[in-house]
Amino acid sequence: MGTDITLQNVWFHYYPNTQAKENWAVKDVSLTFSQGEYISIIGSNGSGKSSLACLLNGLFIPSEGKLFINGTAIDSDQDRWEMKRRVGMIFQNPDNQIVAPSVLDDIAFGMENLGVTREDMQIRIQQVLQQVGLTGFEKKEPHHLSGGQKQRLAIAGILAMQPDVILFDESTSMLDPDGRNSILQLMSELHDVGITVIHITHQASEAFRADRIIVLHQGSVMLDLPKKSLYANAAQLDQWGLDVPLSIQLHQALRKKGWQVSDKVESEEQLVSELWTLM
Amino acid sequence: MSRIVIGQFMPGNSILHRFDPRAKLLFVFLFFFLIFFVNNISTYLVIYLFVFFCIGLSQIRIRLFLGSIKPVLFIIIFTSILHLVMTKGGTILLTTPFFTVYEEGVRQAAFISSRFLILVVMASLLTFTTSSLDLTDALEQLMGPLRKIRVPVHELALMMSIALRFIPTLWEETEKIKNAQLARGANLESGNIFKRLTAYIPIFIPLFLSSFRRAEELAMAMEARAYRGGIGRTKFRLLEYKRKDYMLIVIFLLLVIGIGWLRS
Ligand SMILES: Nc1ncnc2c1ncn2[C@@H]1O[C@H](COP(=O)(O)OP(=O)(O)OP(=O)(O)O)[C@@H](O)[C@H]1O
Ligand SMILES: [Mg+2]
Repeated sequence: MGTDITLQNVWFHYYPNTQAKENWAVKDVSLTFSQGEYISIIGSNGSGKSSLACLLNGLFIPSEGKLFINGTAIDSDQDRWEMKRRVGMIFQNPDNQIVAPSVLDDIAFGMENLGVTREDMQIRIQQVLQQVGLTGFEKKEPHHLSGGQKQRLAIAGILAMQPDVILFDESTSMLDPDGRNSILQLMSELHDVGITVIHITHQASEAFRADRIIVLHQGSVMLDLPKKSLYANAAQLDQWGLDVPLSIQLHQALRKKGWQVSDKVESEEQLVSELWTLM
Repeated sequence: MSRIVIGQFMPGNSILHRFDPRAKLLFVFLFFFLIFFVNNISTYLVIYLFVFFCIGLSQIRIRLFLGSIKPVLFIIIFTSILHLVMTKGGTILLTTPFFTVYEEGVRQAAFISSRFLILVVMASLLTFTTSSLDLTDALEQLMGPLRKIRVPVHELALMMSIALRFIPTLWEETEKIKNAQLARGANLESGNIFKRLTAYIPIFIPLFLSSFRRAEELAMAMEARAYRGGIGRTKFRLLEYKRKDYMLIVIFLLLVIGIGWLRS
């Protein structure tokens, strides 16, 4: 069945009555996230990424505007609670999202909240342990896991709730390169099995793994593009305080210098083959 | 990080480890009451035999029990001395210009310290052979009926479990901050007690602040995982009474009968 999330002119602020509307955390955002997409949301510090994420899984309630799941407006607390099963969220700090004193109990936590039967829990736990590569860690205590393993445990806990969408809010930023790569790899695998992956990040190179990229700046959506259109628009990225990936910088520098590089380049591979023919 | 904390769970597979935690908890609880009916040498002998039998069954080294007695040793010695010099009765064993020791005083001192020792050893037996998670579960279930009078049993159990989850994390963090302050020239080891306490302020303040941040983030993460209190919640951890758990009732009754018969 799946989960499509639609935001319609959504505004949000932590203290709505005390702030002028131009300072709100999320300003007039209208977006649709369809089942199975792989999306990155990038933006500088304080651009409203986390606030947007919390709106998407029902942790926050829009101050203005509406949120729809599969076309149905989300209004009641019950709706928002049900939304949390559909939309899982992985946070930045690996330590502060593990609730229970052992791997098994932590994976069970979300399922317990949903009222899953014990028999189902056993089955799902084995499945998700395998999926995230933590089989054999059942009895481990969280503080004996590495950062990457903790994040994978958090992902397992969400997967066990069988969500349609998983939000990653800078979930790789506190990890070492190995941990980071294992999580990025896992995101791709989740996308391959049909889960909508929404990855919030600072890192342009990570963002470019997604198929669609959304740029936020001061609470508003600046760009919402499929990845292949980004080369043409990348010049704008640094005006919002974002770093432009090296290949894009190169592409633009070459064009500026008068080299005959096509402006239709859509990916790094294409750029390489363009350069190859120039040589 | 391999310090042995007093009363820390010692994983094992002895019969004592395998009893249901609720059964053990109840047994120890009732046993504590029973101790107060023990009042002569033969009943103390029965109890001592029983306790040594349990220690043997637990397959845990005696040294660890001595470790848990150490912190209360001072209280034991202190009350024993009080009883030795204060209690009157029976024949006089020793006379000094300051105090007189009577036979009854020696008896009382021996009994009181025995009582202390037995309480501590039984409590240690419980915590050595039961993981804290199991204990939490057992408490949650045994206190279940208190829900009727609005005791937030589920929340209390969850708090305990979260505390268990975060104690090692906070401990590591404390060490980190401590090292960071030492590297900045903090002096934690010398000076009088007041100086040393104030030296620890720069360690506790960052720890406090970070704990609040953790708590806030954890609350968010719990809510994101659809937590909304105890309603409609199922439990993954399952406790099941087995036949051997009912044996504990028989053993307890035997103890009661034995002591009831032998006490004076
Ligand atoms: N708990 C809060 N209370 C009040 N204001 C907040 C709170 N959290 C964020 N804000 C404000 O809301 C705005 C958007 O913050 P948000 O955390 O959504 O940004 P972000 O893009 O996730 O930033 P970062 O990259 O630092 O995580 C900022 O101006 C911030 O100061
Ligand atoms: Mg953020």
